[in-house]
Amino acid sequence: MKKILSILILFQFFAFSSILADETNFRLRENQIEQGYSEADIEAEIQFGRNLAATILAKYKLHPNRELQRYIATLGTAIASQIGRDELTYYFAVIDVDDINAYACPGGYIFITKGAIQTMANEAQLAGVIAHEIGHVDHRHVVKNLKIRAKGDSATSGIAAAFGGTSATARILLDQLTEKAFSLLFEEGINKDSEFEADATGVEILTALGYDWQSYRDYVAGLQGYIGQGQGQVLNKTHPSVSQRVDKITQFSNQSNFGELHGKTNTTRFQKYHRLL
Amino acid sequence: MFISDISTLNQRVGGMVTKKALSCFIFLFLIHSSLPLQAAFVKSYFAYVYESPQAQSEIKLRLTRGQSVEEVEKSGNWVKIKVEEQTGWIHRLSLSDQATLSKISISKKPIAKRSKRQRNPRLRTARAAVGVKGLRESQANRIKEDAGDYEAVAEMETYVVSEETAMQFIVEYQE
Amino acid sequence: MVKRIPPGFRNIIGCFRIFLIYLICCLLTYTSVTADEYHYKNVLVGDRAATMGGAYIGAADDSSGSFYNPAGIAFAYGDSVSGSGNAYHSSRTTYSQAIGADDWVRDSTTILPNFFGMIKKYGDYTVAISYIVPDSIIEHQDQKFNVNNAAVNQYYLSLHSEDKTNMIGPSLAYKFSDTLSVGISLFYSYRIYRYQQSEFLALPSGLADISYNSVKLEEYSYLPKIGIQYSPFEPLFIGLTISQGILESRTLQQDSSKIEDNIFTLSNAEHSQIKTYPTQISLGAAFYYSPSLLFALDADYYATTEEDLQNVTNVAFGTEWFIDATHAIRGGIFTNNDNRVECTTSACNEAQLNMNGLTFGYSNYTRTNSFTLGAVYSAGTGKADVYGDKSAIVDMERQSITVVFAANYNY
Repeated sequence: MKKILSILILFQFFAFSSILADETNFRLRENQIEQGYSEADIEAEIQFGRNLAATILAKYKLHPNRELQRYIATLGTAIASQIGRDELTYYFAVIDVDDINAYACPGGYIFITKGAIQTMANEAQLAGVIAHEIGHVDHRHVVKNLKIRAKGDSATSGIAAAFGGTSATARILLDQLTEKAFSLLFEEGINKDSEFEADATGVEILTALGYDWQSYRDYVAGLQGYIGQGQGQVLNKTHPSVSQRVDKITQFSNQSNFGELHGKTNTTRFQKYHRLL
Repeated sequence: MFISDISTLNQRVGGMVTKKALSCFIFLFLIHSSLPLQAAFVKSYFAYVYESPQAQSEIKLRLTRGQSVEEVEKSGNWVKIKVEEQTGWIHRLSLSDQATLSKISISKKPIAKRSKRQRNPRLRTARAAVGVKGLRESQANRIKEDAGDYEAVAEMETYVVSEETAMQFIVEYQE
Repeated sequence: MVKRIPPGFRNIIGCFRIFLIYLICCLLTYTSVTADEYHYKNVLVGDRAATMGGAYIGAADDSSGSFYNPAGIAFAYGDSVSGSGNAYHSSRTTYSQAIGADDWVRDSTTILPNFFGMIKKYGDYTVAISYIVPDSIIEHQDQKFNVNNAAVNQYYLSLHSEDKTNMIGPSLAYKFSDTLSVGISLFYSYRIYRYQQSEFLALPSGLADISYNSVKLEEYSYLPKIGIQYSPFEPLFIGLTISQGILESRTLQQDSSKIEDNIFTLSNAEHSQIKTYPTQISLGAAFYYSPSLLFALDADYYATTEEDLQNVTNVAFGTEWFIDATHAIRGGIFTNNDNRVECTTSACNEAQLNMNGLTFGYSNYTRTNSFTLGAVYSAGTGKADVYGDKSAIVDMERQSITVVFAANYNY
């Protein structure tokens, strides 16, 4: 009887504690747990992302071929409708530069370079890169890094106020944040864990949509050949090493039981648009 | 120590206390087991419910955005759910804790242009502030007067297609 | 410590009132020295810890963690700077019926900055710097007695004493995993004690006897502390620390001068002293019941090798409740026991006073910073050997209140 009681007591203790405690990090106190994002916060994110997109487009031009742009946007919209955030409208564009890279601005403004598409072999690789970028937006990597939020409840405060040019301080803050975001995308990179997380999202969505996830891994592995050359310089600075990424992708696929069955690559369709570059 | 305390109590008041403690624990145990299942909503445009947690296994159901399901179990990237009297596995990226949110849009006006006379003092202030904050000179120079090509952004925003068209483009295409 | 026998009283043994004044001087002389050397928890360090009864070994995940358990800073949320002050520290000691039928009451008040620290995280390593004032007493007394007997008309006594310890040092912690961390702190400690006493006796002859005494004690020491934190299962964390004070030097300087019967005499002396510090072993548990509720329990054990002192165990319990993400309240209880042997008629070590305390605090949080306001109350009873010869052991009691104010900035 006593033994049963003590077992039950122990069980209660464990059961209660696992229910009550936060699973991920139970040491975090109420003031440290990431608060939810309000509508005002999301509006601030979109405003900031749009401004950042405008800054990028001031520097790098859009690719002139509208059919190509439509293709990327269609692929992107399909992927985003499966894994993107409900409240955002995602926009996609190809920028006319030879660098191999892709950029995700907060709020869903996503860019892929001409150079990156040129090195791709099939649609699965393109879908993987798009999914990786959508992963950055979904996980709010830049938003969290720069702590972008609306200051008050109304969208006319905080970051949003900066856009109205209501004060010099707000304007300077906006410029500095934009500078910092630019630096994150084009120079420093966000951080390794965020990149691995985005790669994992990319591979997950590929398999969920029936694409060939191995093509994406091969694409990442193939980037090694461009590192060191002019085209791969920015990529190298802003992402973890290729071998680390490939290892993480393989590890993740094994853990998730993706298996080695090959999904679709839609190479023919891809080549049709590839010629438009 | 705890056990001997219980046994002392037991001796003093007979089996009553022990029985009460035992029934209390059993009651709590039952409460734990019968906690309501976590509700979730389908976030994706569409989502398949599979027989087992693998994309290659048999598809049992096709759900659409906004449908509500009950989470039964989690295993890696897969979630076992209960919906329309059936259970099956769905990819975790397809689900969300919250009901579908409506699209949030912003007023798409470019940042107000200042008159030429007003611009320069602020630019100097901005550059000075940037210099004080320690950003490099090259970065400071990037703060241009009309930083931002909003026409290009508007152009980019016209490329988007409807979700239905996009999904057909991916799902229905076969090579 | 020096027990100054006022001039003019040595020859008068029948006058009870004068004897009592002599007694008062003795009390003043020794009690103003003893307050900090014999208790280990006179001042609670840090805002979160102080308002939780000082039960912080299992948590210690902010900058004040460097003092409680350096392993805890490995789990700090981010980089931060914090400072806390005891805005008002007031203490009252009462010796029952020490002067005939009257109680002798002694008050002291200080205002002091008690802690300042910074934490910086570098991946799995965390570095911190802290400045701590673990103890500080300031006492000032000015008394005039109208004696009006055959030997003395008036007796004036003025004394001032300060005893302050400053500690500064770096800390380093390493986080092995989400369930294990180790840390080390190395503090350098400087203690300065000053005591100055002036006496003036107005004699019926129209002459006066004057005496002046001063004592200065300077103590330099190191205090290394190592700690570990481990979580055997969710949501419990257990902490263990060991620390050992190491003396670098302790110098006692005594000066006295007097004019008695028109004769001036002067004496001074300087001694180097040896002191061994107790070894402190502390064990603590922090139970993170939910993101809004935390319980902590600590036990501290001080093992001393000094002959006339005893080992001490102190216990503390604290709780923290986040009402929401902006407001939090804390409470705690703790013991602050004396390391001197209990005072009885057969054995005594001047005095012994065991105290218990109660703490309460409120904190307000914004995204990047917080401030805390709280109070620590402690009280205790004990016994004192007022004549120094065990012939009369009187009851003594002490009450003290400290108002704590702190600010924290996360970046």
